[in-house]
Amino acid sequence: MTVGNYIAASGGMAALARLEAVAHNLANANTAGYKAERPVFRLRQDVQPAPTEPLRMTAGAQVVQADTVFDFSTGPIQATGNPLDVAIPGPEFFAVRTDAGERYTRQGIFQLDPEGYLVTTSGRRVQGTNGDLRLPPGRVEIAEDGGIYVEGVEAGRLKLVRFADPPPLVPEGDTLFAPKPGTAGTPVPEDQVHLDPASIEGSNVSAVGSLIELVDVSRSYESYMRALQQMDQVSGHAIDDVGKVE
Amino acid sequence: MIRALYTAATGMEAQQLTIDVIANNLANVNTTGFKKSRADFEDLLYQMQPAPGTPSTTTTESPTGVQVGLGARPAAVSRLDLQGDYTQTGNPLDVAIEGPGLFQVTLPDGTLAFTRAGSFQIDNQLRVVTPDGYPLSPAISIPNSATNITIGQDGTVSAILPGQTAATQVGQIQTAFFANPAGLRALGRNLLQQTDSSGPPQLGAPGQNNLGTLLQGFLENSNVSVVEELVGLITAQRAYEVTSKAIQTADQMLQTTNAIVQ
Repeated sequence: MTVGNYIAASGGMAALARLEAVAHNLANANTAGYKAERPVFRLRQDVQPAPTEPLRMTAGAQVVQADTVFDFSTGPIQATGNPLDVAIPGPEFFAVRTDAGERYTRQGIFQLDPEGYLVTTSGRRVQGTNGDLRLPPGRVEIAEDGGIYVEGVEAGRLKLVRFADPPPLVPEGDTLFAPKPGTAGTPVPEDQVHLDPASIEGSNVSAVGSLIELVDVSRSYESYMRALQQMDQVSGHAIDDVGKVE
Repeated sequence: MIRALYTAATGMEAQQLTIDVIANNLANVNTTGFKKSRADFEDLLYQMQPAPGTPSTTTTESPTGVQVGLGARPAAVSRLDLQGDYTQTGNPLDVAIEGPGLFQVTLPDGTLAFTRAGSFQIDNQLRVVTPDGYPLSPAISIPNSATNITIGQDGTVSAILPGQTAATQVGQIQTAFFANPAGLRALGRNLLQQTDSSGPPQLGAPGQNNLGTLLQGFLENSNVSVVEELVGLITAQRAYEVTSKAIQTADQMLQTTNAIVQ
């Protein structure tokens, strides 16, 4: 069949992938510490055109999704007054212990579990400079320098980790990020830690940007489908009219 | 079907939960001792098509891989145990707790529950009870026709008995402290119940570590701030609206697809 059909269809698939990313971003418009995702596309160059053929005529002109990139910019920081909320104004991450190894998050919504460990909303232990943070009972305060004080006595320090820019991190859900194979972050020295206590970093999804993208996605999808329809009509004419035996 | 439809729906459900929680906070803006809640969310699992680091050509590799997020899920609705402000009532059986700590009451089935709402009354058996009739634990009875009931900062309850001039101690209010008060289960009626997550209560006389101190003649107001809740309401409503646009767009795209085949 006409290669153009597949090229137009690949454009439609790309629009769908963009829609999925926007839907995911919007679903997380109120997820603290969420980082917006964006699909990136490329030409399907693995099908090499014959030397005499221009690229646009071959299957190599199809568009495929190459990557998903994440916008690691800081979301809006809002004060909550809750002593166990903490936001990072800089580009660092909190470290969290999981069964699969250390993971990183920007969602500084912490709680205490029954044993007194500082945990994330999904119950994973937050890491301090000396491993798990187990706090004695009492009124907890997290200071700007990452120190955790219970009734005014220091009970541990939050571990912050810094990565290269852009951070080589892959999301795993639960607002956790895993380092890509072969990469690792560096712990931030204690004297360079700076936090916004009793605050939450909101999601960095832009509602206006997402809406504009939705309009663009919808219209470009329509164009691809129209192109598909036109090419189908051309094929139809070729079959019905040109080949007509009078 | 278009995956985006379901992804966007998880977001709309998340916003709906936020609005439910805010509605409950606002409804309790004048409930004594009420602690506001907040819905916290997390992103759902990501579907990975080629995994990160998969070779894209012989010399380069896909740095992140294609990952499709599948929406949001509620991670926790946490109660924020922030201090509410106080109203002076002058009623001798209104008691507020300053600092952490909870009153302990006995439910009709004999189990214990905990509350911050210290608006007590005396029932027909002369016990000190909550407005719902649940007695304080350990029970405190005020002798008949006793006057000048005084509740000290440390929870000692004294009163002047008929025919006497000096006050006599008639009971001792104990308060409870939990390692993780956010883990307590709300029963309604201002009551909280112990769970595995909250840990066991540590009981004692107020004034000791973490048990707060008592303030007679005052009530603790709810810690709901109407302005904050309204801002949250607007944010959630707009997020709901914009997420519904993603569903609309998915619907339009399906329509377009259907229209190409006549």
